Amino acid sequence: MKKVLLLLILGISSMASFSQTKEEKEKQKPLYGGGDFELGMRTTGSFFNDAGGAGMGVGGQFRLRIVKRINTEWYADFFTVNVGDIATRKDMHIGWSVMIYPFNADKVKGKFTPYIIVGHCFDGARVYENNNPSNEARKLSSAVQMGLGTSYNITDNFDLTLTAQYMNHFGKRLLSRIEGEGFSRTLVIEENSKVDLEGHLLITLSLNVKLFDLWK
Amino acid sequence: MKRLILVLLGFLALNLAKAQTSWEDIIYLKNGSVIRGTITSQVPNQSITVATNDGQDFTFDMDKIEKMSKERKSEEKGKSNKNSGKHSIADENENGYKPNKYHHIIRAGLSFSPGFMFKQDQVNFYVSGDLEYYIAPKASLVSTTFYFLNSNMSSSKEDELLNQGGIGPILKMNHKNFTGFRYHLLRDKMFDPFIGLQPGFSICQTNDNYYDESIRTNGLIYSPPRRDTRISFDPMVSFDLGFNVYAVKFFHLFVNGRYAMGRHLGGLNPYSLNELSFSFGLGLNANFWNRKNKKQK
Repeated sequence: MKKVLLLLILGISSMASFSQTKEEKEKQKPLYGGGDFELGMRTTGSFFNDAGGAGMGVGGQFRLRIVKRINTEWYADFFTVNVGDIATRKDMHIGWSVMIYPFNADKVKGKFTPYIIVGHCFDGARVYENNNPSNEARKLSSAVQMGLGTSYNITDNFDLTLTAQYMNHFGKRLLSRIEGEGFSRTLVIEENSKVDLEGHLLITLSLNVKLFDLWK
Repeated sequence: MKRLILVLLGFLALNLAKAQTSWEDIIYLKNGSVIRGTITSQVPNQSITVATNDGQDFTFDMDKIEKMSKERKSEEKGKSNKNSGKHSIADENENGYKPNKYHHIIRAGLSFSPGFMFKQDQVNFYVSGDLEYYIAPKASLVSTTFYFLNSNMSSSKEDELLNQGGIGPILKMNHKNFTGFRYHLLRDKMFDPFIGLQPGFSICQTNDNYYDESIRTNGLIYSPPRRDTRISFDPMVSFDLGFNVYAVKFFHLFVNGRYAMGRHLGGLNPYSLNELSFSFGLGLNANFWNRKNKKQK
């Protein structure tokens, strides 16, 4: 009789393992939840930079989710900043970031997905006087950035994302100031010979659509 | 003990029966349709026949089938989702939700659009075109392009500028593109109101006076202006709202208002590109989902 009971228990346990859902099996895979490839557009505000004014930028990005709680973002941005109405600063950022989802990592319609973002970028900057473009300076630098953000999932495959991050550039600073008054105002550019830190706050609003799952 | 075994066996049989009845076959067709039921016959590499839950039989060629799967019955899934409080488009589909008739629609419109720059007292004229794809019943991706035609300034503003010894600044070129999304407030309605957010850019050039160095040394002494010919790429962002009316099969009416913000910084003077523009007209739409559903019927 004991044998019969043992067989029954074994039978039930084997059935239980067969009835394991597809999702449960998926969860056991090492790269569970990853593979999402997303494409998006972004608009970015740049504040507290060395040019003195607030800048506005446009760009694009793609995201590749490695696992459920870790995503990567690869982006390019172009900014312009008005320097006292007589000069312009233009910046180009190309970089990548890691996004870590501490909770609510699943993309569910109508829910927020907050994250911590840390990354690195390359920056090309040019500042020049509008009336005399030869009065200019350029620099190339690299930078690190980190911040916080959240995505609002409009659908399961489509989100609106707001991110605030502080970016710190390593390299020579591109300091500019305006001298004179009225029509005699002119741009004076100072390029620090020493390597210094130059930082600014970036607020980014982006729209992302999931196109496919690369792991499948 | 025999009784115990009998009870166990009975319990097992009940569970098995329950397990068997709680699964169903799901056929995903290439045209996007989802059929639920039980596969009753199959000719390898040729066709399958499915008996749907409402008792009808459908036969599909294998080359029309995207994939097949076996899932728990939708009622049970619905219960579990209800319990978890989660709600998603994917769930809705699995629960037998039939996507609305505007899901997967592609629409396009072409129109003349006036744009009003209040700060400069200036009206611009554009040819605008947009292309939109509904990725979900209430969300769509949209790209809109404005081709700059001409610009008109009020006579009082023009006089004011002439008195200052200038010709402008006035826009010479302001082609724009915005790409982003729209959220549609109603689903499955002929009247389709929406709001949207679209980052974008302008390719801009101004007719601007270009003073030479003498202005610096001689103060306000006017030197003959040279036109500023620099073209710049200026980041912008826009918000739009409007509605579509899907009245007939391939055509719809669209009305759209947009406020775009940006600043032209490549020229001599910074120039605000903030502009309120309107467009309306008759657009084209193709609804692949509907067409294929009808074919199936």
